[in-house]
Amino acid sequence: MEIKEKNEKDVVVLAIQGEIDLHVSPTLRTALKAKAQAKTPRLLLNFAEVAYIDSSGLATLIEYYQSARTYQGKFGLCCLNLSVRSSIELVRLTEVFSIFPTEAEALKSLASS
Amino acid sequence: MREAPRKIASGPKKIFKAGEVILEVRDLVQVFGDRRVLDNISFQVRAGETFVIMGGSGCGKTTLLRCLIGAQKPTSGSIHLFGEDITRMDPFEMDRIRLRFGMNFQFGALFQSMTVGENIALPLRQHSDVDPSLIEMIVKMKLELVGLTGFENFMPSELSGGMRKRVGLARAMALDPEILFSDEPTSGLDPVMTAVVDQLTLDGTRKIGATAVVVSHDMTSVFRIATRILMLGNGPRQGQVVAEGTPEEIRKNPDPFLQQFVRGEADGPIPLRMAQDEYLKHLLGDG
Repeated sequence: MEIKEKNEKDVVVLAIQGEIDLHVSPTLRTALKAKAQAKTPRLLLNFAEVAYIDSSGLATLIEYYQSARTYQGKFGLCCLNLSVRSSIELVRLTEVFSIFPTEAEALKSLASS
Repeated sequence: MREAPRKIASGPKKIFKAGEVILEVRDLVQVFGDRRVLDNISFQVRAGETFVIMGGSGCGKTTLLRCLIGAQKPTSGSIHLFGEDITRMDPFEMDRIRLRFGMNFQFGALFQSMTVGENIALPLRQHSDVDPSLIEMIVKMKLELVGLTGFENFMPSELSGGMRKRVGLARAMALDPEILFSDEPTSGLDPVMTAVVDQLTLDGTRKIGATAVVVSHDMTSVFRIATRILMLGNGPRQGQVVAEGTPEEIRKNPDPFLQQFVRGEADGPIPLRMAQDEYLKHLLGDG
């Protein structure tokens, strides 16, 4: 898995590439923990290049969401493929995460919040 | 560089795309004593399918399933799972393969001394280095999937049979397996929970892209979930493939043995009792 970072309109964007499973979710967790420790005010995960996410990956996202809530950090996901979106829907997390169809829409929403 | 958790031993693996053969059984024979339980079984399962094995009591369904998960060495034949012949594997190699599939046992097979949550967490604790706080979340998500949110601290003995079955299913899904094997997943469940378990199977295959191999004789469930069906015979056709096809093909297949089973009719070629001469010979002895 690869994570590319950029800043757009005061939003930190992490573009993730690869499958998020038991092997690689610790790498994602390390990256997200660093963002939580830095109290990143606005974080967007771009999933355009993510084909699959397993339960350990979902738990990692929940953990970051819980951390960000403690400092009112904004957190969004964008560009989910059907498999990733279905995994999130199956465990009823679509109401928890802010999910956007495109990066542009996500940036617009997160930057204005 | 990929950072692999310490306990994961599955190693590099081929990712199977939808439609690729993920399981192939060739000329499988299982003999117990003088009884040929499985008789030259051959079939293929493709990634993303829900493949249902059905047949009457004693036809060899569960024996076949035990062979497929490496719990029973067949007398002859081969089983290629994820492209590797598991009939030739030693236990260590088999452990590597086991990380990639889940097994949902007929009666849950829960550890009675562990809570529901500990049972579901067990595969994750044994086979991964996932942090305990994340495992706790995964357990909650799996319980939500099977409609048992809030039951993590219950003991198996405090649950009904149907609830234990659902906990067994949650545990089988703990590692997000590429193939889920299920033995009679809906037997003993009420119609609503049967539909819930069926929907879970369908969601896993249609939405997530996993593969399901289900042993069942619940006809409503079979026709709801199956993409293809394999029917095993008993009596004179013990352990043989009677039919294989899509649900539509199975419905239209004129084989009287198959149709009696699908329609659940008492009268037909499926032998319920021994022929009278055989019975008397058995009762009175050869003399």
